[in-house]
Amino acid sequence: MPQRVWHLAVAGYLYLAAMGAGAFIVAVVLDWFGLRLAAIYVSPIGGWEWDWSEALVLWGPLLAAVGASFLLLHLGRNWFLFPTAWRNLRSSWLARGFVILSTFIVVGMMLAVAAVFLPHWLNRLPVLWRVAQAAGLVLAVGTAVYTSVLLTSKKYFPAWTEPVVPFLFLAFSLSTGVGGLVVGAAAYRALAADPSSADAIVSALETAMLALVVVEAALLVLYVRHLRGGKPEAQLSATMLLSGSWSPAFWAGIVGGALVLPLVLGVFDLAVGSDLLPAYLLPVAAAVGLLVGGFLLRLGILAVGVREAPPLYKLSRWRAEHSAEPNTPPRLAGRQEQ
Amino acid sequence: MVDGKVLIVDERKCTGCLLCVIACSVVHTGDIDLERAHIQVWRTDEDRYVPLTCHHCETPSCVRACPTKACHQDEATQRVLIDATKCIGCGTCVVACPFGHAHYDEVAGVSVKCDYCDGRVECVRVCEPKAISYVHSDDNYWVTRREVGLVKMAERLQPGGVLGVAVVPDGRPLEGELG
Repeated sequence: MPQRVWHLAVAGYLYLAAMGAGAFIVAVVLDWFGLRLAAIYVSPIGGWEWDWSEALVLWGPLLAAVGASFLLLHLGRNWFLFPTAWRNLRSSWLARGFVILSTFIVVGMMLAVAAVFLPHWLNRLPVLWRVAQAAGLVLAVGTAVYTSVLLTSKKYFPAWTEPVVPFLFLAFSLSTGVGGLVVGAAAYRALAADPSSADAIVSALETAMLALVVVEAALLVLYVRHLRGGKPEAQLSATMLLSGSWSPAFWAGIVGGALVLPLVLGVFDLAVGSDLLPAYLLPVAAAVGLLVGGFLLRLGILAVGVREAPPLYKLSRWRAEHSAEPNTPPRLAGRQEQ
Repeated sequence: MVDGKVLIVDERKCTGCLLCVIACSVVHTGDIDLERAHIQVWRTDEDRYVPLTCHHCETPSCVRACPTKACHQDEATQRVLIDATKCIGCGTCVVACPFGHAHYDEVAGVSVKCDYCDGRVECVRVCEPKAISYVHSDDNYWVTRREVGLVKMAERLQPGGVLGVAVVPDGRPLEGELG
């Protein structure tokens, strides 16, 4: 029977934290390659200018904070003790993740706040800004890795411990981050007087999305193949995904939404173009499919996690299979019947 | 173990009556609520019953996985316990346990597991077929544990084959043969 302890709230937590980290990583890398949105200055207080364009790019840490609140929803009675979840750093991945994610949220939000509210200061301190971005990038990578390996660290669920799972989650954290940034760029186009700076970014994001989708498709095929050739519990998980209760989400949401739709729309947009359609319609549609499918992937893999049979259960099954008469144990020299 | 004693399950004797689960539930919650009992009985595909209790492992996965150290190993008794005042109900111990024992009590909002009831094990008292016993951790305990190991070995051999010689922790050789 699949586990029911970690479900919707944990999937939401891992998904949003991973997507926030992925978006931050991609945003910083784009900035380092000189791809940035032209500033949208507003000055609501005197001559103090705020740059709202950065808010459409550096929202990743805020999304990760929203994800962390999903984890709070999942906790039981003592949710107020959540800040104590760092005590077992030596061996607990959840504790390590708590520290990494919390630091990423704090540092990342400080960077986003500085970028939005102190744009002119940052222009005067480019080296300091690069160092701060690098620190945020390291923490974002740590968060993405943590959300990818948390399930793999639970050794008795074959569907979670497949070696390909962390890579699959890591790829999806980047691609959903790309998808979120495409939506942010579309919002920029609607808000900015001169949206031309978004075109280069959306074009780069579309290319990245295509490359990531191809990698994800390969990883997903590998994952399903491993499951089908694995332990009985892994095979059960594969059946649930491919033809069982999770098959609609798998085929329509993950394969259709997160892989086929972005691939088809992306290739069409890059090869043929979409001059007759509203601007960014195809990239945004591809991004939405990717975002929905990315969440269903997290939820699906969590939900089809079937625990390996406990040893005593295996012993009982083995006895049933190998004993001539029921309840006859293997003969053991030296064993005393009670 | 408490006073050198451990809980041993012989699942061949279990009839699936669930009296142990009911007794455990009453002792720990004051009510008959099978979902909240600390002992659980699994039904196998072959219609056999397997009572699951905590093995109080020497290197417990649940203790390693717990982020708040609510799940801990008592230094004096070596029992693996969950401090409900520190548990945040994240369920990590539940998914970490190889025996599927620790579980989440939705009413209490924390994880729960067998703690041997400080030696007053009600599940043992009510078990009429004596499928659960509370015994000193002598050779019988190791023989039972060894049987689990035999299954793994048997998977590599034909039924009826000689399993060879293994060594129990006190150094005494123990020969096993499949029936």
